[in-house]
This record gives sequence, structure tokens and C-alpha cells, in this order.
Amino acid sequence: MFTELNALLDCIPSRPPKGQFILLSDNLTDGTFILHHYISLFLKGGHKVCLVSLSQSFSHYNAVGQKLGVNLSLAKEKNQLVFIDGLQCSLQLFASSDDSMQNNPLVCIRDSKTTLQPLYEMVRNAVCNSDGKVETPVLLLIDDLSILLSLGISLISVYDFMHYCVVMLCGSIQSVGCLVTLIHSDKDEENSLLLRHLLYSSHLHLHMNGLSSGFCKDVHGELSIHWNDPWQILPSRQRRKIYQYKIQDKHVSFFAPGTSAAVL
Amino acid sequence: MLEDILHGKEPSQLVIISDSIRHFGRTLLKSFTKSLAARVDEVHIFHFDTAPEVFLSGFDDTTKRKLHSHDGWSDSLMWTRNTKPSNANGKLYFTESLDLVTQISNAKQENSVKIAVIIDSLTPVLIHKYLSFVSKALHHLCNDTGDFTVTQLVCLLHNDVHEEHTVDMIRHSATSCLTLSPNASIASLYDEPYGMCNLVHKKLSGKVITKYEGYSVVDDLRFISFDLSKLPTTAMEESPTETINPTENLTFNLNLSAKERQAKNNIVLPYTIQDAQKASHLRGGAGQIFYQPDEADDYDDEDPDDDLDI
Repeated sequence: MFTELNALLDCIPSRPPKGQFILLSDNLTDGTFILHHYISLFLKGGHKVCLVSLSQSFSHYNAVGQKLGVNLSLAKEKNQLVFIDGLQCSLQLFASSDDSMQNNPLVCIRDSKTTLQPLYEMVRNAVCNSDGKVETPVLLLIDDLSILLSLGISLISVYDFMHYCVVMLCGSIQSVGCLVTLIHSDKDEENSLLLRHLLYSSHLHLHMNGLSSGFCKDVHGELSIHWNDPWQILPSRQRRKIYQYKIQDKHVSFFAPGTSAAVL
Repeated sequence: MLEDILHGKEPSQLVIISDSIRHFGRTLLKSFTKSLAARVDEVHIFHFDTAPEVFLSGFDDTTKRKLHSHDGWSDSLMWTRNTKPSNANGKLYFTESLDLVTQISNAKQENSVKIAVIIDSLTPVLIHKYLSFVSKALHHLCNDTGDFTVTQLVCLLHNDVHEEHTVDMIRHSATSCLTLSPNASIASLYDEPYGMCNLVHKKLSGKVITKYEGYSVVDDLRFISFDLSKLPTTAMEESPTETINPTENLTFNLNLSAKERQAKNNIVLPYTIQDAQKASHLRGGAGQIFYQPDEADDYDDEDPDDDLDI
């Protein structure tokens, strides 16, 4: 959990975001540090987390979590964290040839007629209570959507899956869930299109951009924060802010553009 | 013009509001909904992009009484149908035939004749169905509805997630097409426009009107139109500045009379080579080079190539 980021996003650690769809995107840089921020924010607050990992193994998240002061293994044992290992599921589909893969949540990689519904059901079982409702704050984190597209799943399938996740967690005014996901939007047309689709339903968009001037040891990238208002219940102007950041060993420092140690 | 269409003074049967991720058009759509509810018997809203309750919040009770929701948002692909108590009334599914006219006929009250339709938004329908399906559905709603008439059909369309020809096709069938863009400002919505609208309207006479207007939708979904010529930001048109004559009001004379100008042109300036002089120089034959060795010059009389044995 990065306290500085909480301050920028008007987020109080004891009250994590409720009913929000937070969309992260990065371009020419790695924006995954924000994912770890949200995992530790929810775990420290004692809330449930469902992590759908398609890009890293559990030990990776565990190692980063330990640096940020949360124990993911313990949370998993206590059932506070549900880890869906998409990496393993996708490998099984490619590596084995038998037909017993029907229970695999990513079966649509192999069979283009199917959808991501099995993955959605797996997620729903993890975050909903016995009545099929989300009544306590819960985080669903998907790392990351670009991999689903890269695995050959159609954009419409991913869009539908995300639509259902939004409906489940943050679709209405009373929703208490939180959905966080990442898309790499470097020049790839399909990724950009998916990003634009999801922006229409997201409440907060954090975009990490690498510096156009190249590597700098004091500035690792630029973060732009857009507060979207997809519902527009009361008309208001869109707000946006831009900061630069430097990732340090255990925290990230944010500062106004042009005020890094390299400049001042 | 936009205000006239919104309040029904200028008839327009099919209005397309096309927005982008830089500026959402839902507030304008809600303003249309409110205005329509005051004019017609019933307003039917098809929700594909937001939850019905989210869209309906913000309307006053008199307006709400006239609104009928059709939910194509919460379970459009029937993924959760089995786990929830099935309440098929008013739900729409992309997996089944999506007949909007029948939906309205089933839901409307018998004595309602004038009906308006709002679609929020066309984008999910275009993704899951074909373009031809959407075109047909729009045509069907506008022209062939049986026992009721659709006074106005207003659709939201997300501009930047479809291919260009798809958007063009939909726009082509519209009688009014509103393309929205943001207006960068921090002033209150009453003082400066919330967004800009590029409007193409086809009149009943066949005349096509193009306008660029500013608009705001304020708290009670009231619509405000802005006259761009009166806004400080757009009133920057430069008035033609008078060209200043620098030779005016001087203590000395910089101007020449015709006589003075002729006298000036006749004078031959010193060191100017005249044409005749130039010709005599060129006719003078081969040029010669005179070289006077300097004291410091190391002048060697010997032939430098003397030692070469060719």
C-alpha cells in the first residue's frame, strides 16, 4: 500500500473504494506496481480479495506482498485471498491433448465457440456469498487483460466477461465490490480498442506512461489520473491530474511534473 | 437549433448522440429523456450500457412515472439466468431475437399512442448483433410500429469503438446527428458550456443544416444552450487592425514627389560599374597575373620535378 497514492486518489485506507471499476493502463512502462497497491490495501483492511493471475505465479505476488507488509500465503490459508492461477490453466490447455479440459476456465482458448463464462462462474463463486450477492467490500483483480487477448480470445468475449464482472461488483449505486484490471496499451490496436470499450464503464482510469525522453534514474514514469463519471447522475466536468513517480524499494513517491531530483 | 430539437420545436424523428471517451453524452441523453417525458404519453428506455436504476436516478417523480425501462444490461447473455429467480419481464437478451417493437407493445399501456424511445446505447447491440440488424430495428421503430407512433427515437452511440463505416451508416439514417466533444473549462456549467456539439440536422423539407453549438446540462437536467459568439473564449476573433502609416506625423519629410523621385533615379552613384565600362573591361583580352613575392615567401627557382626520372 502506497500512502502517497492513497492521498492522490482521495482514498482512506480504512475505507477502500466501494462500487468502483478502476482501470489501469500502461504504455512503454510497467504499471503493475499499482496492482500490488490495491492487493495490499484490501488485505490490510481485512477485506476479501480474488486475484485472477494470468501473467505471474503466486510466489511473485507473495514476494512483493511481503515487501509491502502483507502475507499472501497466510491470507490464502485463511480464505481471505482466492488465487485463480490462469497461468497454469492456460498452460494445461496448450500442453495436454486430452479432452478432459471442459472444466478449465479458459477453455475458449481451444474452442472458439465457447465464452469466458466458466471463468466468470469461478470468480463469482469466489466473491459472492451463498445467495449469489456481493454484500461486503471485495476486490476482484485481473492481471492482466492483454494476456487474454494475446492467448487468442476474441475481444468480444473479454468485453462480455468484463461486463458481467462490472454488473456483479460495481454496476449499481448500492454495489460494494471493487474491480481492478490492467491493460497494456502500447500501440496494439486490439488492446487500445478494449481499453476504449472499458473506459465507458470505468470510474477511475490510471494511465502510466513512460517518459518520452527515455530512461531517467529519478523519474520512472508519468501517472495520469482521470476521474470518469460513467453514470453522470449529476452533471459535472471530468477531473484529471498528472504526476510523475519514482519507484523505490518499498514505496513509490509522486511529485508534480518537472519537480524531480533530476531537475531541481 | 439543438435546443429546438430537444424541446420538440423542430421535429426530428431519429436523433443520434455520438460521444467519445473524452466526453460522455449520457447527460444530454437524460436531458432529452426529461424533455420527451413532458411531451409524450410514455418514454421507453432500452438500457444496454448502464443499470436501469442508475439511469433513472436523477429524474423527478413526475418524469419517472412516464418512463418504462427495458433491461438489456444486467444479464444480456443469460450467464446468470439459472441462479437468479427468473423475472423475464422487461429483460432483453442478445442471445434471443431482440424485437424492440414487440417489447414496447407488450409493455405499454393500451391508451398510450404517442411514444418516445431512448436507447442507451447502441454500442453493445452493434457488438453482439449485426449492423444490418441495428439499421432494420431503427427503421422498424421509426416507421412500422402498428398501433402506436414513435414521436422521437434518441440513441447514444460511442463513436470511437466502432469502425468508421459502421458509425457513418448509423448516422446516415438519422434525421439529427449530434457529435459531442469536450470543452476545456473550469468555470461553472451555468457560465461556460459543458461540451460542444456539432449538429447536422435534416429538415422535413430536405434542407440540411450544420451548426456548432455549446451546451450545458445542469443539476435538474435542465438544458442550457450557449451562443458561441457571446462567449469570452470564442469571442477572440480579431477585428481588422488599421494599418499604421509610419511616415505620418514626422518632423521631417520621408516622402518623395514625382520630380524628386526622377532626380534621384538619374544620379549615378560612385563606384557603380556602368554597363559600357563593364563591356570595355571584358573586351580587354586575356587577363594577366602579377605576383610580387613577399619577403617571407620561400621562393624556389629550381624545378621541383627535376629529380624525377620519367
